[in-house]
Amino acid sequence: MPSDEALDPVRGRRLHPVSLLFSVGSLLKQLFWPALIFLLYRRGDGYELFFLVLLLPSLVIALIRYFSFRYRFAENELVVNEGVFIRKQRHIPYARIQNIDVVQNVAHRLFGVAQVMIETAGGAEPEAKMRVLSLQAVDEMRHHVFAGRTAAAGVTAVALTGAQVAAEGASPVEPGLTMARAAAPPREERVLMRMPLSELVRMGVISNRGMIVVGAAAALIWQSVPDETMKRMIVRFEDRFESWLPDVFQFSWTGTLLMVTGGILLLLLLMRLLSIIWAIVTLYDFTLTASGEELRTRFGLFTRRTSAIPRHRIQVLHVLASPLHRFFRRVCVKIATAGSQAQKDASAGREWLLPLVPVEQLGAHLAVVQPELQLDDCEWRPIDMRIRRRLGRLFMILSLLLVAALVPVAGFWVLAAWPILAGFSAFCIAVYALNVAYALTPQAVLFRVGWWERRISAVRYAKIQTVWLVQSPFDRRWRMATLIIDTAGVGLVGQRVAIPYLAEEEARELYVALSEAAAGTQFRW
Amino acid sequence: MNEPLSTLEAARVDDDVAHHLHPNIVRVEMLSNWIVTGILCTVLAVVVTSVIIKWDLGFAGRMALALPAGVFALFLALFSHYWPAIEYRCRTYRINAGGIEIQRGVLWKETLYVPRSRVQHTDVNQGPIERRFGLAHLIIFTAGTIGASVRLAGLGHDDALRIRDFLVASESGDAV
Repeated sequence: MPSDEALDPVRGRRLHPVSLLFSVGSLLKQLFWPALIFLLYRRGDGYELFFLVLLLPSLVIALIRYFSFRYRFAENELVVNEGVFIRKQRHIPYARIQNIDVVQNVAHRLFGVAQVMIETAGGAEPEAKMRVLSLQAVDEMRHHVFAGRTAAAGVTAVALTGAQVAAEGASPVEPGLTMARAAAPPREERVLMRMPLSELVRMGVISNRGMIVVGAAAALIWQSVPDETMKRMIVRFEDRFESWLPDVFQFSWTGTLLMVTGGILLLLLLMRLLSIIWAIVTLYDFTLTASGEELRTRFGLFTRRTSAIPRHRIQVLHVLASPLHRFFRRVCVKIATAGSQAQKDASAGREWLLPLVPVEQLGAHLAVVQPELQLDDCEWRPIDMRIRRRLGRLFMILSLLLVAALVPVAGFWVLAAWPILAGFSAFCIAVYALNVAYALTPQAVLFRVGWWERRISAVRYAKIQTVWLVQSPFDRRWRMATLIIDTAGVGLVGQRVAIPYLAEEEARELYVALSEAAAGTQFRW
Repeated sequence: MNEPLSTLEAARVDDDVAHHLHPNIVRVEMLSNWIVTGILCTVLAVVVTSVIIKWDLGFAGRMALALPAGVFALFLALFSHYWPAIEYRCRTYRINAGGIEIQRGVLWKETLYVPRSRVQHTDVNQGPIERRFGLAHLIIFTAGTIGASVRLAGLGHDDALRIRDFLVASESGDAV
């Protein structure tokens, strides 16, 4: 409904006034080191004031940016205006918004504001980045976007501006859910899962992200400590180490071995400890809530992140279990969304739906999160078991070649290793083959793979984009085929749904069935 | 250029029959292959000749250089000439009410299906050689990852337009 009013940049809401403070803050952060050096060398010359002049243009830009940025809730779309010289107006239909991510770092929390990222499908960048909004405005935003969507879904297109909704409460939209959502900002929000501290510790132990912490700490130290100090520290450490090293070698051989293993064990322990710290810092108070169609995850100790994802926007759902997961009788549930950052910024954590959940509770949770999915009592169908012969033969030849190549170097006795190698690979192939399977449920196709790290991926028919039947020359020789189910938002190869080594006829049948299922369902982003 | 420009004789696009591409695609691809081969072979000839002129390699040395180069050039030429016709036999498309199926690949075969309801948008493009032979290629964009864009080359221009119109016509209450 592009009226004149929609094109008027003056109307609409501003960002929270603290935004100015934050843009100045980020400016200062960039200028901190140059400024420090400048001030140290020019002490008392009155040049400090000159330095402040440098800040002025940036300050003016920040001011302009703040005063020119407006957003408005139109009937079916969010309208964002920015710029003075080059005016930019962006219309984002509510129906196209994939998810809303809210990030609150410590400074944001002090002021009770948050940064909001609005994602549509495709593109590397968020469609709109709002730095920063008051929490109330964030709530209002969510409310509008998700209520606007139901209105746009085509019940009754009642023109509702934000003020109207707030003032009048429920409007003649649709009874039931829509009514409840269109009614008032404090919507009913049901807590589905909350991770207690014990679970976070477990999460840390399982996920082994110690290196991430080490890397982050190293980067931080590297950035903040001046080079000279660093060099001096390294040199001093080397001196110490050298004077200390000969003592070690005076130990007996076993003593050294003991020390080395002890050191490695200590290091592993330290890594796990760091990993636990990582889990607590990133996932602190992880809460999954549902209100109506919308799922919301909220987590973080210092920086709080909130992601709001409509249930039907989940493209693929993965259930993951490593050996450690199984030891603790837990699984991890991740999702793929079509939002732009899904691939770029995996650490943003939108992919976590249930970071760690007891196996027994998985079914109950999935029943709420994706009622269309039933992972229990579905009929798993294996891949073609001739793969054991096919790959077994291949590995037999490969290992023979390898062993034969080693003969000139190591002598003929190496040939004895061949049966062991071939036997081991045959065993691995058999284990692999037994763990790859697929299942068709009334509304989704499930794919299971892996023995050590297990994964079950579920794609609803409505989310299938294209279906591929692929055959290599070897596949054709064995009358097998691979079936690839393509969806939106799956970047990493390890998350693809590709069923390998199916018997050809079965693959064709599945291809036809999935094509028809996909063609028969309307895709809603 | 003597063949009719349409391989879709029927009135309906969605006849659910596997169609071969327009035969002109063989000539189009042959021509563009020849151009590439010509450029590559010229570069190769220049390099080989200048090496032979610059250094005194002796007869054996010259042969050791010229023979592999010649074999490579011959292979390229044969490939350029015969591959399009070989590939042509393996490339078909089929359209039904639900969407479009594309088959391709000589050694690595693939069959893919793009449901009509998953088509985001389409392009119909014509390169200079294609235009000369009245052909066009259709690119179908979906929201998928590996199938984010699917290319179907070797359609008569009118056919490409008709298929495009058919694929994008199903915008009934899409995407809410």
